[in-house]
Amino acid sequence: MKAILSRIRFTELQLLVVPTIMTMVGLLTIYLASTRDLNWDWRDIWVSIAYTAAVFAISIWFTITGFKGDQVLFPIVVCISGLGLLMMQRLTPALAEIDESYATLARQQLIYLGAGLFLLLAVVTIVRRIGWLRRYKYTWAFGGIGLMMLTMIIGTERYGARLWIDVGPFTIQSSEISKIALVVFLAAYLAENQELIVSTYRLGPLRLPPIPYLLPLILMWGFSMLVVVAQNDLGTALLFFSVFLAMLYMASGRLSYVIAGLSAFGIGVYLAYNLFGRVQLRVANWLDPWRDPVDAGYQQIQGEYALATGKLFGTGLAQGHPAFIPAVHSDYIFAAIGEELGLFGTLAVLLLSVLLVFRGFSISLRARDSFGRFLAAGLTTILAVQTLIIVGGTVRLIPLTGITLPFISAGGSSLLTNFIIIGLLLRISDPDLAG
Amino acid sequence: MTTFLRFAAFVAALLVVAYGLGETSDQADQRWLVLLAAAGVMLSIAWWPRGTSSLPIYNRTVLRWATLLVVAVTLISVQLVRIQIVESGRIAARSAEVGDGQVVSNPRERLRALQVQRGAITDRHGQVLAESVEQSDGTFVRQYPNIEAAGLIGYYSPALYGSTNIEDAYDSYLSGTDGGNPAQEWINGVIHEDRRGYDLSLTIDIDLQQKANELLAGRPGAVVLMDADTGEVLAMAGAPSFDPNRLYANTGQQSEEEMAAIRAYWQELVANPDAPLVFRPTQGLLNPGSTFKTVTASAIVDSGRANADTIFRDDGLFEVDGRVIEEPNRPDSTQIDFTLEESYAWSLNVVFAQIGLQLGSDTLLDYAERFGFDSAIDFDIPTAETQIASTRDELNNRALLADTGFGQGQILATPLQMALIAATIANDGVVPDPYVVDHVIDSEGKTIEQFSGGGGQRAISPESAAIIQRLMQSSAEFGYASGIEIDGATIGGKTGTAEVGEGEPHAWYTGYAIAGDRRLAVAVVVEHGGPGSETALPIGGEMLRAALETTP
Repeated sequence: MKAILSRIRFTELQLLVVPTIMTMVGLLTIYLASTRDLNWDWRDIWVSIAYTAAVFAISIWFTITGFKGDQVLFPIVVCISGLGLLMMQRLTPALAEIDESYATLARQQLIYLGAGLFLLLAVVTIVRRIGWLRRYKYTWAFGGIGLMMLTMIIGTERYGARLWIDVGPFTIQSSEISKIALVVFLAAYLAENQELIVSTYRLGPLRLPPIPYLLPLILMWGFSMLVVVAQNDLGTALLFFSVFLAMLYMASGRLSYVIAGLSAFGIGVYLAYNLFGRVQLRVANWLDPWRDPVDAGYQQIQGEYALATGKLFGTGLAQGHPAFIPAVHSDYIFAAIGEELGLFGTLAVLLLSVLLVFRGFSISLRARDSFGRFLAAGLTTILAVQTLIIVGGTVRLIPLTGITLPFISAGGSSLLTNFIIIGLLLRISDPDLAG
Repeated sequence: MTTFLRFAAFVAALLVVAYGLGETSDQADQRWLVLLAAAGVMLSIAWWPRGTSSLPIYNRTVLRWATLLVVAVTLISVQLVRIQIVESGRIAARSAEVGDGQVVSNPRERLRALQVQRGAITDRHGQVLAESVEQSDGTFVRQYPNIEAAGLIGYYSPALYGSTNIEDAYDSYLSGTDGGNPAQEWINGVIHEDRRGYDLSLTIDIDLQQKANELLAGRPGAVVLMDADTGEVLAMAGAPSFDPNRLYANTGQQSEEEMAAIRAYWQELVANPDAPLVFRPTQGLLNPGSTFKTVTASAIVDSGRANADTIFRDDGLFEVDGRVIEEPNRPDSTQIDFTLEESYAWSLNVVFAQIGLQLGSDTLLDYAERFGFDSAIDFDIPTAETQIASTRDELNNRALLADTGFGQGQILATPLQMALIAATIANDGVVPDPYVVDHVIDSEGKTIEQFSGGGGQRAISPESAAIIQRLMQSSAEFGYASGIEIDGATIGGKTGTAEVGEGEPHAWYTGYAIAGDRRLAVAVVVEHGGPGSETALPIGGEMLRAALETTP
């Protein structure tokens, strides 16, 4: 009896209560705001009820299968993606008024959310061991890069960038999948060659880093950067670069690598700025969107209007007008949160991201082997850096680059990938896991 | 030591952020971004994980990386506080003109304009000049039942051309965002209570306004009639004018064809060479001609160098530094000696050229500034900056100084400025503070804010003012400004005929009427209207007469 009780994931179950209530109350608010009437029925918020049922079912399934992994990570994700669910439900009718093709946005996102939760469950349940990920490291690396190259050749172009592959009725954003593949490769390679990477050798009076052992890393990274840059996807390039550098630093503890990397980055930025008019335009828009308020600066200006309108408490869900912002459902979702939920809402999103990242790092620190450690830290870094890049762009701390806000922005590939990341993190957190 | 360093770094970061908030004006100002980066470095120092030397390398590096991420999140939070709290009002209200008169502005403000009943604007007797009328769909449309004061009130076109003059300057009252009890406003905002804008009551008398428009009869020009005592503007008309009803446009209220019609009307107004969108009383910069002699006379009298009986010489020609000034205004070509009173009444250019030279540029500029020149008059709506000469140094040229003395040269004045000069003389030497918005009324009819003209600045002594009054009254009795007679009122006036290079000269009249305790001042200009005494003076006379017939 005691053994059974000890298997029940009480912490997780308790932590799930508040986020799920939030999605139900939030959806009810949105519904009441749209009808301007106090009459409602449970069926009006079936989406949130289904979401609540699904996440509790997953937690209970973890209990049944005797999963002993981290109990805090999943509720944090439920809270963030619950917010994303609310934003999609809220934005879809407003966006559909402008362009009918958005009418199915909420339903699509709901399907992806369901699929994401299922993938998470599948990763935790089916992938009992992560050793095989490590074994096939070059397969992942070449697979990831191959997928991106394939996108360049047969991909579909949207918003001036060729980032998507059409597969039947679906479009896949290949860089989303590749980012996991790359982190798996990096973690495996670093775990295997950790000792060598830290070492130095002497050449005359110089102490040099072990260039032969860094070479595969740099090649792999350089190749993926090339592909990403050729795809005109600066946000993803920045993400890949930061993740590469962070993992190299965490594994080696050598600041010199970071400095060398940042210098290379500086030169790269300088070259890109001088070579591509596109980059110059982005920098100019970042510093002053009002130089061209009807065209190039339009989106940033509208995003600012939304954030400034929100003030401390926000207008309230479904009481603002975020649909004025172009791409509000993907790149600019953070501004929509700022308008309707105010500074409290935006800080809450940031705080939840910090909690998620800290949990990820704590899983990394508790992991048994270095592959698990590096993998957990790398995957967590993806989520952290991605959030910083898009939020930093939205508040104009850095130039804006189109990238999704994890778990909140619309985008199937992004949502599925992020749930796979959480699944892997949960898997790594399992103390029973043997490498 | 380390603890102190960390604490100092943290305090320094706070100071840098506070300094940046005070010193920079935009959230992506490059200096602000640099300061924020500096604050980031200081926060990293303050929060750098310590006691990590005993930890394995990996734990140490993860901790450090996590610290850097937290610093980044903190910087984003600071930026969010700046955008959403500290400067939210400025950012949300920011707009820009993008050419063609069209503006980019916060669409939420436009929507609010649809949903909030914008306050009405009435004249001093409660006649409605502008109001927002509810439509069947619950939105509001701005209407102008009386367009006699269109230029003064301005237009309101949130979706296309923004707003101007009173509609713009008093927007926070009209839209209900400012003026009431701040606590109540905040509560209303939180509970989404429907807001209603505040009404404005103007000092304008719409009958006088209509009279001014009738007298101008569409000729480019302006009339400004004001109470010289209080600074209340009773009529302020500019011609040609426009119909603000035809410029109103708000998101989703007009069909494509209606929008096209609004744009076409705008294009027509912009293409009109007489510039109907320029509100001449406050924005029209014209040479005031001889009406400026009032300022020159005030300067010579108030500086103690002459009185009404001082004799000046005018033999019909005056030469200064090679420039020959011919006298066109002498009533009798055999008379050579004139008192100041006669010189003013007959508007003798040669005499006032000499007075200008006698005063010197510094004294003349000083007195002109006392009457309000060389700056924009503080008024309810924007006013153009007037000038005596394009630069101060220009007046060191004696020929220009002489021209300036009699009102030619490079002087540019608004009709409001010229009305204030006449008002100052009538008001015993004090320049009244002009105003046109009298009070703000809430939806229950309660006055929530009452404006007044304030005390005004003294330009010349009461004794000097009495002498100038004598000059202006003589001018109205036997000089060029004669011809206005109103029972029970003392009239003083000065005409002007401003030569402007090509075309007919601008016709000016400035004057006042004192009857009992009422003192009214008027300025009239008709562009290219010919002699002031023929074109502008009758309009000024009619305005003063009509104003005295009304009850205040």
